[in-house]
This record gives sequence, structure tokens and C-alpha cells, in this order.
Amino acid sequence: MTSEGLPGIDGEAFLQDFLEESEEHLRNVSSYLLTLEQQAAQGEVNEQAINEILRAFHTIKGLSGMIGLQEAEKLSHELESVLRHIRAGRITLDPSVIDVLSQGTRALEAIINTVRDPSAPMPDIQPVLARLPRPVEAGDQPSPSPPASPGQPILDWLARALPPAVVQALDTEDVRRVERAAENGKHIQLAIFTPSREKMAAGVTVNAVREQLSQQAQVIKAVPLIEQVSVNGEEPSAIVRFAFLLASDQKLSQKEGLPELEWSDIKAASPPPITPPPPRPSHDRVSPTVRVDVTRLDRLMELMGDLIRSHHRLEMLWGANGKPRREEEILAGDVLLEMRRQLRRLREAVIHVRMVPLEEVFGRMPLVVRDLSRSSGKQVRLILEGGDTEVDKALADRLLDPLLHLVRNAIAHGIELPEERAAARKPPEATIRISGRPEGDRIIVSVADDGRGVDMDRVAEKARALGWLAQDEPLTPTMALEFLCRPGFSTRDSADMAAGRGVGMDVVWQMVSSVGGQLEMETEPGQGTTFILKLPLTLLIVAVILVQVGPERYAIPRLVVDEIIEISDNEVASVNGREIISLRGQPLPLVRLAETFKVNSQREEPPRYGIVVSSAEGRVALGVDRLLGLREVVVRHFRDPLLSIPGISGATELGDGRPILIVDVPDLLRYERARRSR
Amino acid sequence: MPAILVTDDSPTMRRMIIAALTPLPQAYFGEASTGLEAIEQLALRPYDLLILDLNMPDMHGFEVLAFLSNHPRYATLPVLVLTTRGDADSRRMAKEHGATAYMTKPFRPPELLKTVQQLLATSKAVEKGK
Amino acid sequence: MNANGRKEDVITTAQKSKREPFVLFQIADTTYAIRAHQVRWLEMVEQVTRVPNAPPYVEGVAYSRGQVIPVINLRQRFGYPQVPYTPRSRLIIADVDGRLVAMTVDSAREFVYLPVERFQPPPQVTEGVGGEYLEGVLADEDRLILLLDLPKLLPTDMDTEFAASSWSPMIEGTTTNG
Repeated sequence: MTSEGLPGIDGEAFLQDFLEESEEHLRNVSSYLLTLEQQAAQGEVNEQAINEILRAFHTIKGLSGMIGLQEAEKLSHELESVLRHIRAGRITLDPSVIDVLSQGTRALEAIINTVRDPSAPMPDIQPVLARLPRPVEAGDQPSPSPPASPGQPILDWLARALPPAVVQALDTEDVRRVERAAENGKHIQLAIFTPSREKMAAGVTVNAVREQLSQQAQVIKAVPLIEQVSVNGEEPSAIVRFAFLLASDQKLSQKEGLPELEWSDIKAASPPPITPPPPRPSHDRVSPTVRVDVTRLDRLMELMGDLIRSHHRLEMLWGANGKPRREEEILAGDVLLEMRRQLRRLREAVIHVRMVPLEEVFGRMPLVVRDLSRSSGKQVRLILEGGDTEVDKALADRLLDPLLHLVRNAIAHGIELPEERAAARKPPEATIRISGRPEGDRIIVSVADDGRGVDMDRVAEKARALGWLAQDEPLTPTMALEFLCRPGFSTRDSADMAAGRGVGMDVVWQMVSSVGGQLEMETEPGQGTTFILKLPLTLLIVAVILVQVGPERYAIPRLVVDEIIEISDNEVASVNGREIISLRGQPLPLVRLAETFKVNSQREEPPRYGIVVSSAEGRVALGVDRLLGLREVVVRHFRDPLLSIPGISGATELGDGRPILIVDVPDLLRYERARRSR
Repeated sequence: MPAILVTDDSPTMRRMIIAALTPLPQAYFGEASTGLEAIEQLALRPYDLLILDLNMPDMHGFEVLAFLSNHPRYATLPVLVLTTRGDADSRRMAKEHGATAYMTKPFRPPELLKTVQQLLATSKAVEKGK
Repeated sequence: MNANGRKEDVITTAQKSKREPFVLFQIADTTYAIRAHQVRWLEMVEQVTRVPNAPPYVEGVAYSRGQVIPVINLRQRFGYPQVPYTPRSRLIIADVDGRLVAMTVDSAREFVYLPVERFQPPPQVTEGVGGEYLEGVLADEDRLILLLDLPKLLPTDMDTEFAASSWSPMIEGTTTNG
């Protein structure tokens, strides 16, 4: 860190800004690199992508310098130079160059990560620097053929059609772009925007207009103009305006939601080209966002929770003395009711602010898979599913490292070389499927490969060698997962570059348990391995149904509840020692919470209500004695190992100081099944 | 009360610059993330100083400089180019395009503050002399 | 346990006549001490919610200062008979290496400075008073003060300490084809 510091400013605040901004740039770089690669395969060079990558490295260089992160400054400087050479044609953009660039990007990511996690080792940038391509010396090789100069007709035509200031601002490349667009049958138009304070106050700024235009057209050039305007015979004054030279498939006008602009057509579209234009890269659609520190959102959520509990206290006070008598009290009741609705909406809004699509994390995977499959000589197809599933931002951030590791692991250990796969009569190209989906109030993220599966014999051998498993003790799949997740376990004797980068399965397990989630593994010899991460979807507030069992109260998340039924005594039948009730003619297992939770209950008769819940384990009715109502509660997930309890995810408190346990239904049902099969 | 327009495409960098300049008494800070936006801001509000990055999307810092120096209305506006490019060419080109001063990033906050104070004092003197 | 080895440890690490702050509490008329810096706050024992299928010494969870905290019944942990709570019963909320835990004790009323070098290693025969969780013993005037080793009181990994009494999701939660 720079020791002189920044006067009057909290250095930590900049570190956070630095991290957020750099990570955003790196994300963009990754996706632009992919675009570059795909287009390079078709012989295209995407200049915009090159410029964006260049600028991202440039910005990271500047910011790293400011916070004194010299390794990042040095590396981003070198990467930036490579891109300048590429742009100038001194380095040819081939797959090996893209490879090196993405390695550099990941090294940069690792360096920046040391700011977030000071215990992480500082990566050695020398190997990456050594691999960076050098520019072709002048004279060594024929210089790239000079770009075809634009034809005279188009220059004449532009000079006639455009204001002189715009023509002056166009360079050869701009003119060629206009020419190409016209050849491809695009409309060429000029749109003029006149800024004003009023427009600015309404958010209509030159940047906003440019953004909007770029969603509907290619912005070939944006040029500021200054014009002398005389109003009502007064002395003329200078007015600044902006001209946008556009190429688009369809003629744009005021109707397209661009009311602030004056339009003039430069050239109407010629008949459409034979080949359809390639879809525009998705990066163009940059949504207007405000970045907010997650800790501030957490604070907001906490306050939200406090508010909900205060409201609940009020409700209890209001209802405490039986029926209200005075008119004001009745009105107060109405206000309370209204407040409850408002709180619900506020809660939803606050939660929504924190949600981001999984795509934000999934989007990082293609580049990693591409790199690893290339360096390992394995062919891998990556399938991403459910990227639109929204999860808490904090969760998405924490998910990146575990996913990266699982993917590296799958390629390094799970997936076989093409020959080996062919010998096993599997397609030479392996598949990794990363998917996300909500289940109840959880999000399930899985990473599945169709590789060789976990070698249980080898795991057992290693575990015995480490003294974790007795010689005659059999290895169960769950134990295998547990061993795999212990630090210091690796079935490979030599540290593997990809999987052994200091991030082990223990990191995956740590992350999952730190957010109150679960990690599971399914593996089949020769068929592949699937790791399943079960994570809380929203971290802090859920709607629950409060129930009473004997003297105790529990909260059941509403999302997993299908319906609530009344149970009459004669309805319960016993089949093979399991209690069954009938729901619309269908048998439904009854699980008495009193029994599962060993509640001291004098009642011998069956529970009066059944909470019908479903999970991957199937559908059951949870038997309870009383229903206490529906509430939105602040969840405190249990983190302490002392409270690692089957079927309980955490607790809440309703304003009376007494914790109420929150039932984790899928976990409870699994526990039930395990208990019964014992 | 000096008004300073800070132009840089990195929001973090803008905040760092403004933080370094907070010791200026009662200064007003405008922000722009692109060259176009800088020109828009300058058109809508009087500024005493422009701090300008070079490598920006759409409109390079040099283009902003060229635009400003071509128009009498902005010709006297002092411009401090603050850029990560420290090579002699960029420095020379910035001067040629009409930059008043040139500093490189990473900058030391006290130095930036001092330079900005000097530029503001000079522009005030020019104003008075007019 | 090697008493001699422990004794040397205690003597060499202690500073000459250095006094440190401790919180004293009673269980079954025995006085225990924990380091004051480990104590976050004290509270009357009010609502403790039982947690099903937890280890027997985990009484449940309590809600205190906005947090849900596991409650350890020290009588149970030390093997004393259970007694009902009284108005003097207290919850001691301690921070053990970043974990917040609450402990139920019969009473807790003293905050004292004790000469740390005078703590002796615990005698070997300390069964029934939580001997295995002690760090040292101090004879202070007419009473014996037992210094609690808090980290020892808390298992850090569930599968070793109470896999038998509880169900660990790691062990049985998988739906594998095994």
C-alpha cells in the first residue's frame, strides 16, 4: 500500500472499490477473450473486443499503481502492451496468443485476490511474462497489408451529407466502417443530441443517449459540435451539441424511444445482404447499474429484520388485551395490517437488490474449461444450465472459488484423455455440466462430469495410509467425500498444476458449510462424478409457518409447504411400521415431528395437522399439534459445529427473546429416511 | 469556490482523485466517465479546471483537448492531463493539443494537490488580468 | 497426562507476580475462573430453546443481543446433577476463537485479578468437576479456584466428539448410490 496514503480518506474504502472494479474488468476481459477466440476461428478480428480488453488492463494498471500493488501494475502493463501490438498488427492474434492472454488474466486475478485474502500466496508472474509474445520487428516480416483505402465516392458522399466538423473528426478507419455498413445494406443516419441542464437532471445525458443508441445501432463515431446560436436577435452564444454517426438495420427515428434527438438520414438501406449480419456481442447491452457495497446491503437487511420484529411486538401488544374497544384501537389495527403488507413489499425489494443471476459466476467457467482442456489435451464440452437463477450477491461471490476448483478437478482427475475414452467406448469429447436451480429456499448448484469417477479403492488406500480409516473398515461414499475434503488429501502423487493450486476440496467444503449449506457427491466408476452444492438462496429472511409440537414451537419455511391438512384420528393407518394418511385417495407418509425431534409430549393420539412438504426425498406430511400462523422471520443460520443438527437449519426470534428453530425440510426428510433404514 | 471536473473512465480512480483534492477549501467536483460527458459537463456549468485522462472510450483525451483548444470559449480553461501513459510522446502530444500540465498515474496525492492548487492560482490570476 | 511436564509449562510461561483479570463463577459450590477477555457478556438465564438430537451437554440455543447462541450446560458437561435455574443462575457468553457460546452456571458475580504464576497444573484426580477441561488450579486464601480451558470444552469437529450422539450431515446426508 502507498505509505503516504490519501489525505482524509479511508484507505479500506478504496481497496473495496479497487476489488470491485478490477473484478468487473477481469470478468469483461474473460468474456471478450472468448468472443475474440470464437471470431478468430472464423477469421474475424473484433476490434471492439481488443479495445475493451486493452482499456480494462490499462485501468487495472492505473488502479494497481495507486494502491501499490506492483505485481498487478507490472503484469497489466505487459498485457496492455501485447494488445497494443495486436491492434497495430505487430502480433498476430492466434489461439496461442489468446491462451497466453487468458493465463495472464488469471494470474492478474490471483494477484488481485491477495488484496482480498492477504493469506493467499502472491503468484509468481515471471512464467507468464516469459510466455508473452514479442512483436514482430520491423523488416523481419512483411508488414500487414495496409488497409484498403476507402473509395473516393464514399468520401464525396460523406462530405456532402455530413456537417464539416463531423467529417473532420472521421479517420480512415471510421470511413471504412461507414463504407462496409453501407455495403451490407445498413441505414446510415446522423442523430444530434443537444444537452441541457434539464435533460441532465432527468438523466438524459450524452452517455445515456450513446448507451441507448448503441443498443439499436452501431455507433460509428460520436463527435462534439459547437455552434453559434442566436435566440430572438440576441448576441449569438455558443451551444454544444453531439453528433452520432450511426449504422443500423432499420431506420431509427423518434419512435424508438429516442425523443431527444434530431435525425437526418445519410443513406437509406440498400437491399439486405445475402448473409445475415452476425449477432452483436452481448457486451453491448450494458445495464445501468449502481454498485453497492454488500456490507451496506447487509446492514439494510439487519434493519429490515429489526423492523419486522418491532412490528411483530406491536402486533402482540395490540392483541394482548383481547378485543380492542376504542375506535382508535381499531384504526391502529388497520394500520398494523397495512404495515405488515408494506414490510413484506419492502423485504422483497431489499432482497431483490441483493440478487444476481448465477450467470455472473457461470460466465467465468468457459474460459477456464477452454484453457484447461487445451493444456491437458482433453476434449471437454461445457454445458451451463440455469444461469438465470438468481442468488444472493454474497453467495454468488463465494461460489466462484469452489466452482473453479470443482471444474479444475473434473478436468484434471475425472475426465480421461480422448484415447482412453475411446477405449472405454465413450465419446472422445467429455461433458461438464454446471447447473443451478432453486429447491425450496435453497439453491442447488451441481458440477457433473462424465469421466472415470472417483477411484474408491485408491481413496481407501490413501485414507488407510493416513490413518483415517482402519484397515478392515469399509469406505462409504460419504466417507470418501469427507476424506476428499480434508486438507492434505490428494490421490495424485505429484501436485497437479490445475487442481493443486492451493485450493483443495477443503475450500469447497469450507465455503459450503460457512453459508450453512451442504456438499454431496455422487460417483459411478466409469460414468462420472457429480458434486452437489446445496446452498441457502436468501440469506436472511424467509416466510415460515409457525407450528406447535407438544410444548415447543418450530418454524417451517413456507416455500417447501404444498398444503396444510387436518388429520382426524381414524385416518392414520400403519403400514410396515410406518404411519400413512390418505390425501385425496393417495397414501402419504406421516412423520410426527414430536417423534423426530424427541419432544416430550403427553399426547398419544395422532397430530391434528399435517404440513404437506416435498423435497427430492418425496412428499410427506409433517405431523404437528397446532398451527400458530404465517410469519416472515429473520433467519440466523447455525454455524457453530455444536448446532450441526439434522433437520434444523437455524433459528429465529419473534420479539419475546425465545428462539424458534427453523426446520430444514429436505435435510429432515433425509434424516428420517436414514433413521428408518437403520 | 473552485469547480473542478474530474474525467476518468474508472470510478475508483475518480474517487481517489477527488479524495486527494478534498483539502481544497469548498471545492466543487464534477465527474465525467467519458470525453463526451466531459464536454457535456463543461457546456452546462462553468469549471475552473479540467482533470483529464487520456485513454477513454469513444473520444480519446487528445480529441477532447483538440476540441477545447479549437473553441475560444474553452481555450483558457486549464487542463491537467493525468494519465497512466508516461511516455515522452504522450507528454509531447498532450502539450501540443493544449494541455496546461501533465502528471502520471500512480500519482502521489500531495503532489496532485499541489499541482492543482498552482493551476487554480494561475487561472485566477489570468481571470483578474483580463 | 504428565503432571510434571505440565507444571513446568505453567511456571515458565507465567510472568513474575503478573496479575490478570478473570471472571469467577460457581457450579455446585465449586469456584471456576475464565479469562475475562474471553467473556463477552453475562445474562440472566431466560429462554433457552431445546435443540433436538444435539449432544447432551448442549442445552439448546438462547437469543441474546441479536444473536442465536448455543448454550452449554456446564453442570452436565462436568458431570454434576442437574438442578433447576434460580434467579442467581447466569449465562456467560464467551468468545472462544471467534465462536460465541453461552454457558449456564449457578452464579457468576466476581471479577478479580489473579496472579497467573500461582496457578498450578490441575491434580490428576479431578473427576466429576470437569478435570479434563481445566488449565490450572489456584489456592486463593480459603478457596480453590479452577481455571477453565475453554477451547477444550468445545469440540471443534463434530465427527470425533459426538458423532455417536448426533447425526452429522456429512456422514449420512448423501444420496449416493453407495
